[in-house]
Amino acid sequence: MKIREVPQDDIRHFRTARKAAYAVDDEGRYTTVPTTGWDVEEVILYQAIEEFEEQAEACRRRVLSGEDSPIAYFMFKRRMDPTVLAQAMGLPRWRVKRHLKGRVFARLSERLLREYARILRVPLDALLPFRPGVLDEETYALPPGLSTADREAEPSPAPSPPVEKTAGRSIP
Amino acid sequence: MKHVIDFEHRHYGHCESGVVSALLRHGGLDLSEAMVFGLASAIMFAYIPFLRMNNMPTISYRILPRTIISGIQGRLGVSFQKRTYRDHRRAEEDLVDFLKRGQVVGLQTSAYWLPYFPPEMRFQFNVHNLIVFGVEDGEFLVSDPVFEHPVSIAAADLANARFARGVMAPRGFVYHPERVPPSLDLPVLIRKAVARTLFMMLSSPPPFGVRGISYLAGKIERMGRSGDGRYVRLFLGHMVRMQEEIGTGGGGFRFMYAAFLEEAANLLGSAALGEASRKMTEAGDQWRTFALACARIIRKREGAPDLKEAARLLRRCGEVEREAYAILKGI
Repeated sequence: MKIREVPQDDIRHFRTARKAAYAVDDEGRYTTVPTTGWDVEEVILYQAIEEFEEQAEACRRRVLSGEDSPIAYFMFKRRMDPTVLAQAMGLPRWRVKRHLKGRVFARLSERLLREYARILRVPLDALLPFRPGVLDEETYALPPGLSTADREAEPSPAPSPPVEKTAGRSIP
Repeated sequence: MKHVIDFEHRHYGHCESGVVSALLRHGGLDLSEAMVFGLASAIMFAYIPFLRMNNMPTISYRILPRTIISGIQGRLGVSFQKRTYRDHRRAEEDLVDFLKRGQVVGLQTSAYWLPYFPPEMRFQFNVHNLIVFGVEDGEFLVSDPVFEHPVSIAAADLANARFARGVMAPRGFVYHPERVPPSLDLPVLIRKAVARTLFMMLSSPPPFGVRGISYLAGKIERMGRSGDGRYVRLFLGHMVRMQEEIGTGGGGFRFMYAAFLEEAANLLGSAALGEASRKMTEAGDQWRTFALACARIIRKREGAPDLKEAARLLRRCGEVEREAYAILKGI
């Protein structure tokens, strides 16, 4: 990959962050180049996220009807499946799978509920009562220190060289 | 409480090789990330269908996590002090102790718990490496090699990240080089490291090494017959994610390895190494072409994907790589 071939596609989830790509300059020497991302990365990440979002949406309806437990909804929202959640909880999978049922959830101990809330990164009172909206209140901005663009908005001692944007996106 | 160590943050392609390179440089041994990656013989290909993560088979373009640290330790004779913990309070006390003594350390963490990561990327991924170089008002100062600048993180978040459970749980893993040799016989070390890589890539049975690449290509071709376009798309997406997204410097570490070969060529004055570097760059470009083809298949969403073409491109990756290793045999 030549330096001018390094994609600068400004992909969504990078915001103003950049990562380092290895590329060769005109003399064929290797260097690292900051990149604002490649369309390919955006496509494959959002493919995985959409998969979870679909499951979460289907699950939300089942939670409201009492069939599934709120844990199941937040599990999908946090991009986990029962196996991964069980590992993160340090519990056998069959137990976690039971806890995903509305009926079993209603009888969970407070200690377990607290641990689920911690692992799912939601407040306890979003599990019980079920408040899926709690995630909409989450906001995120890339910490200003992490983005060169933001740093340069203020006077900065060491600006990095400007990077040319690629003319067209990688995937039309 | 404030202990901040004078530490120069640099931006790297990959977390583990970046952390090791930065720690060694801080300890007085200046090796580039690519050199660390190459000397640890870290390039690999592995497709392990029975080891599943997030319901997908394991596909890796590098050796196992933590083995760059141990590989460098063995190859260079650098001794790393390594430690894991049961108790997170103890781990935090020790971390502050390190900083008090002016010691920067590497930590293994879970990306799921790092608040500065974009939320879209906070998957349960337990083998992200970063450096802590200071503590100030209950916050730790972090030099994360795959980000452009240092960042701070609350003590509670760092504790969660260090004690996440699951596959390859970090258990508070902390490490730093203890004794760094004053000088190294790099030409000898490079030859040893390359020989090890040749052995792993050329002599491993499928599904490892270059044979693993063509094995997986055949597997992808056969997936087309099942007609489950949805699974195929998820599988290809997963594969490309392992190749491009998780911080590989692009092309599944192939460009980083090519950078190592180039550096080695200059050190040894070897034309063959230079040629192998160019070939490895070509392999990296080939992997990028494959990734692009996969993304197009995924983007289309419907219909039967053209897996013959994807498989052909993947086979080509293996062939070009094999040519690069063939050149390396001659050095």
